[in-house]
Amino acid sequence: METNKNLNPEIEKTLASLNNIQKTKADPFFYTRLTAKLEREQEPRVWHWFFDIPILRPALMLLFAVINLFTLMNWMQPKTENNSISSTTEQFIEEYELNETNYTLLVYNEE
Amino acid sequence: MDREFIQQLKSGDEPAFKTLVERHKDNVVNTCFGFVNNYHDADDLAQDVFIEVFRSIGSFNEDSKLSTWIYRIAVNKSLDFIRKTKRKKRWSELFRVDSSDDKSIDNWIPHSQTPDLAMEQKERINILKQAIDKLPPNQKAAFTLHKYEDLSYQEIAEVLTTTLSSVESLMHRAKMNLKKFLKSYYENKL
Repeated sequence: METNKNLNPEIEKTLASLNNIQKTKADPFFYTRLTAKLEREQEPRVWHWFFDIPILRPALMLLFAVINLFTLMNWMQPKTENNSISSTTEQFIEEYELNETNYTLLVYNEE
Repeated sequence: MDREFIQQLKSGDEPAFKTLVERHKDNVVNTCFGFVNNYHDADDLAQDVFIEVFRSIGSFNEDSKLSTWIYRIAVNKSLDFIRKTKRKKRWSELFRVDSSDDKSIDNWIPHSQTPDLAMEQKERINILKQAIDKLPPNQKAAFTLHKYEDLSYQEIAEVLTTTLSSVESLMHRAKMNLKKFLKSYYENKL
């Protein structure tokens, strides 16, 4: 009961704190910005609704994160590219019999 | 005069629309600010209000004052915004920086006040703001229109399309709820 009595003036003061506030005003360029927004709103926005779906934003972020992670993991893997290139070259030489002897023979015949 | 002005608006007269915006923009921004407590959001909402006015002026049937109709749109837009913000809160907490704008309250403090008094009032307004945010939508609407826009109970009844006694009851319940919140707030603080 005693606490209530102590609290009442505090509560009343807080409730009255809105009594002498000053009004918030619009900024001087309000109308200019409004007409610009009005023009923008009148332009057709086909995909806008798509990005307004609340679940899509985090889902897209997750997708981008997964793609980034995948790319990073691929990039960090040890590179075997040179080995595979040299083995492909060897296969090519073998298949078309382009070893040194054959090449000399080919040049000789042409002459 | 008013009827002629409304006819000009309905016919899409741009100077008339500009006059309407200049006449009501401060009241609309202030009303929205009372609901959302953030100047940037209030400004955005006020623009949406006038876009709605521009689009639906043709359906305005003149059974209420133009200002009452604009207030009604402002209240509906603000309550809609609060509903959507609450729905999005889970996501915004994860992906967005907090949008609460403490500096916005500075707009309310009269410049004539001493820094000490201004600080104390700012703190009280902050507490009261938290309490108002917890009110049910119709109580919040009645309380905000009365406190921020100085509308009479009769005017509030017209904006909310309800009766005078309903507004009296809404205001009474709003004050009771606010007192209850403030009491528990100060009890916890002691």
